[in-house]
Amino acid sequence: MSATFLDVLDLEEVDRDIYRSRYTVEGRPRLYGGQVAAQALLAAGLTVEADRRPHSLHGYFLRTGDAARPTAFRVDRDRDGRSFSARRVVALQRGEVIFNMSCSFQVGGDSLDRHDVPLPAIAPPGDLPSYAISFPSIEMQVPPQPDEAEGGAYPSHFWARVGVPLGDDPLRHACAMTYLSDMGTGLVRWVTDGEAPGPSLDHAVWFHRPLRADDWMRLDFYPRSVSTGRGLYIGSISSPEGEVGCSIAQEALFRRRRDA
Amino acid sequence: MPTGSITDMLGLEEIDRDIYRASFVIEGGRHLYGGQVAAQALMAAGLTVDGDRRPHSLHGYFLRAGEADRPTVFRVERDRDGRSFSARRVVALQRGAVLFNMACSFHVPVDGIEEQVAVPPTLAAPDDLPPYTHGLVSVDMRAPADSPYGWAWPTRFWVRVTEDLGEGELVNACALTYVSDISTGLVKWADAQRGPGPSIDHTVYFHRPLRADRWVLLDLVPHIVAQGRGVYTGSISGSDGRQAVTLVQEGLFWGDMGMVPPASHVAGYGTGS
Repeated sequence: MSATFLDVLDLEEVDRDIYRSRYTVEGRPRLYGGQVAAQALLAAGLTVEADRRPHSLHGYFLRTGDAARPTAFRVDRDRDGRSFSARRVVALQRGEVIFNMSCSFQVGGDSLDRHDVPLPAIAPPGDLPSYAISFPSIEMQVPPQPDEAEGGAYPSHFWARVGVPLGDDPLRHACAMTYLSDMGTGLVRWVTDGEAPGPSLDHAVWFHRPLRADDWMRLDFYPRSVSTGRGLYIGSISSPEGEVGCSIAQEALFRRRRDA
Repeated sequence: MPTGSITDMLGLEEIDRDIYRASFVIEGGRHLYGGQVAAQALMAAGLTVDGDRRPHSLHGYFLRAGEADRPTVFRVERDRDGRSFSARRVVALQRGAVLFNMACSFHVPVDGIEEQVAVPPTLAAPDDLPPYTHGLVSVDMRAPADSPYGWAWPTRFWVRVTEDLGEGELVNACALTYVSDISTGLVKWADAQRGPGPSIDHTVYFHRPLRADRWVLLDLVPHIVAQGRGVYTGSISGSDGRQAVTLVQEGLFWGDMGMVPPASHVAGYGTGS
């Protein structure tokens, strides 16, 4: 039986605050950044009381991971306060840190709810062409892009969901959104024959409101800046009704193509 | 306004390899200002990195209220030194407890295309604006007297470090980090019952070098408040309109707090003054 997204989220507890992912993919050279970020968030979340939900994570991709190898996660508990818990995680392969992440969890609460995040009109999911991706259980559909300059191989606006039920634990939905949040890039506007986005450098996700990642969600990316070999974009993950669940910021290499 | 110099504030003592201490203190029982601990943490990390690498991003979490009249210890972990990038993590400690953690990265810059989306924000010249009272050292701040939304936290303002910082990119990046936590972009949604509270996490991307001892323009833009927290983004630009820095900050957004009227507010709300 082929692997599903639930295998990605299946971490083995090796010892207190040490976890291992045994989900491996033969024949894919590089570990997908969204996978290691999602698993790191899960590892941190497993050390936090269940009434606390992740509200933000900040990670750096430090070395190329090997998708065919298990990854170990070591969690540091920086603080457990009355309503917040802070964790740092390193992801390791062959004893080397491939990814580091800090994150924070909060006891949920109701409050004022406002946002100023513009979402362009896009065609709804369902009848749109599927986008071929090789991630387990992940479905992706791409509408016509609001800005023609942002089409091509990496759409800046698309629909995605996890195609298997994830249950009701908000942590698992946050991990799934983290997994999806590293797909695509918001930097296609500035792609030329000579220069293009390269690997992700860092990645940040702020979880504003809970969304179900096994329902359709829209991802919208916006470029901010390209300079001295790096580019920054920000983005959001929202429900079909336009409720913004997450904000995303990512810096990536932006450099001369190897074949240019 | 406290006395002292930003050069002293950023002057860290090397206790041992990868361990630094900031002995700069401000008497009077105030809370440590978040921008200070972030700037010092970036300096500590930068001191462990080769001089040809300059900071390009930092991500920090404010975990406990610090004491401004106590020294702070910084412990640096070297996660990676590659061909063109160096990654560091830092924890800031007082009384053995982590006040602040930060991850950051340094890059040997390369030539390439230069693009930005942001239209340069406009604001009256600093000389035509009144000084703004704040709790930082060596900082001149100018903001319009009529704050947006009727609150005292300005969202578009000029800042200049009043000491000569030289051309060093690390010290200028630390100074920009220092001023980057001075206000908040969330006042749009404040009212008599609720408003922005302490910073939770803080992210700074350094796109291009910028001298902090010349006038720089900060522009803070609200994004969202929900579930007791808010996120705003911001930019820091030179007077030529080139954006050098992008900020993202998440902070508490309190309800039923009985907001203090604007006139009594002192900027640098992380100072707790």
